[in-house]
Amino acid sequence: MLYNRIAVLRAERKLSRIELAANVGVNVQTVGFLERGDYTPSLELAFRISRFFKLPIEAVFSPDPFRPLSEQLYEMPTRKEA
Amino acid sequence: MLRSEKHLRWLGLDMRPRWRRRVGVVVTYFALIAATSAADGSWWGHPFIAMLFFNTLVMSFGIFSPRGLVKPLTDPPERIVIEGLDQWAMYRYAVPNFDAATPAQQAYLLRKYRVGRFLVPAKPWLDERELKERDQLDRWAMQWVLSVLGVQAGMYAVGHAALNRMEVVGTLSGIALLGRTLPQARVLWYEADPRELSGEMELVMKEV
Repeated sequence: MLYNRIAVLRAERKLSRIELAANVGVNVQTVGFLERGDYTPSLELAFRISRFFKLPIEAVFSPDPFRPLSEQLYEMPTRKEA
Repeated sequence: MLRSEKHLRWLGLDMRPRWRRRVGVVVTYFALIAATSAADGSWWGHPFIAMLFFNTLVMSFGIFSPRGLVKPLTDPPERIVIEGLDQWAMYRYAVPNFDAATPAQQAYLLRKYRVGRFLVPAKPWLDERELKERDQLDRWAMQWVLSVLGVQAGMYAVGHAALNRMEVVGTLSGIALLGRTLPQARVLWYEADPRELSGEMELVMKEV
């Protein structure tokens, strides 16, 4: 399974699913499937999405679950470490 | 695989709720079975004509019609005619003409180019996820169709000394309809209500 931050990035940029879908060349429902993790994109689509957000691909997609951005930003300890 | 929300209407009913679509699928199949079972030679002159008529009715106006609730799985909604390298370059790479394409693109076009006029989809109507889902639906429907065909063949082999030609024609016609409608039926049965999906992100937007 591939985890992604598409929902968070879209919310940060105040983008609708329709706008994101139009820019990366997929249908609106596919954006929903991607955000819920119900569909693993092809490499080409993953690169298109990353380039659209102007981020490296590993910042958008990961084989491991993402830590919350707030934790990463402020280097907060995780619950286990605390 | 469902069309956009504004197109999810059938006979004036809002078909966004999944339960309504499921009822539509069941009612359509039952109505078809009932109508073809009730029709006999005295009504139509030939049972095959009855089956052909009801199949055409279902495919043209029913919940499985090509302009219905599900995106067309095989036939693109719009097609255009393409002829010549310039038009192929415009179609494939959105460049004004062949000379405007990059050397790699030109090499690809020259490798694939064939002289003549071609009718092609006007624009991609299914994205990669939908193409993958369509292939899975086709495989699933094929498994069911072959299973029904096998069962029917077994029943005829065991139960009948001599095959009735019209029964065979009617059975094959029904199986052909099944093969055509099963992928759409599965989409209608399992796809979630579009409002549920969009509602999730409205919540995220509010929280942000």
